[in-house]
Amino acid sequence: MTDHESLRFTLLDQQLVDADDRPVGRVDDVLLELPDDGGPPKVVAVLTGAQALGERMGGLTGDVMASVASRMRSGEHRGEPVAIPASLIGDHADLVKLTVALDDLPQAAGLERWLAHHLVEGLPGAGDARD
Amino acid sequence: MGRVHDLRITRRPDQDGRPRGLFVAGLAVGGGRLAHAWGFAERRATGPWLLRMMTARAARAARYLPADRIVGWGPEVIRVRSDGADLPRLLDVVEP
Repeated sequence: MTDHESLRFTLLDQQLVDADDRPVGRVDDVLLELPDDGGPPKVVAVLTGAQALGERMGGLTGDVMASVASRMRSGEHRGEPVAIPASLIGDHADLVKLTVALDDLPQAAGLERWLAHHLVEGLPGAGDARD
Repeated sequence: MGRVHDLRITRRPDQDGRPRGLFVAGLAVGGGRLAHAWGFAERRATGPWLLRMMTARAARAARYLPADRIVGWGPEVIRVRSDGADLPRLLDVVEP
């Protein structure tokens, strides 16, 4: 019986949900770090969003995707992919469930938040949906 | 020895004692790219039978390399302690 599992099938491309089971995005890439003691690499963050996916895909399509996505982010993280610390990952059996709510991840789901604020909230009946 | 097609990860306490560290336990090495991508290299997929037949040989060639056998984690090349002739088959290591 093994105590290890495939990163490709249990983490990469899996749906990310927050502590309330709300979709956050997908795991588009993984950030690894080599510890100072020379041990095996550690997963320090999962990356989500078009920039992370584009950088992972590579090629012309991936480069364009990553380039456009990086320019759409604002603030101090402009140009960086959206990173969610691995310490916030809870269970990842079927979904990658985080231990925090989406509201505690201001760097995630940026496009969805923008669309919700600038587009959906202005639609008739949008207030009922929030309730 | 071949190319790395997948990482095998495990959850254990990290050096700070926190229980949520995800570490690389080993690597899935060798075998065909498609055998790994489609899941045949670790029995995640069993069909269609034609794809299973096409990838069977590559899936049998895939090996599991434990992290403690690795002496150098380079960005292009990963160096291991021995020639890898005694590495177990990935199919024998993973759970079906």
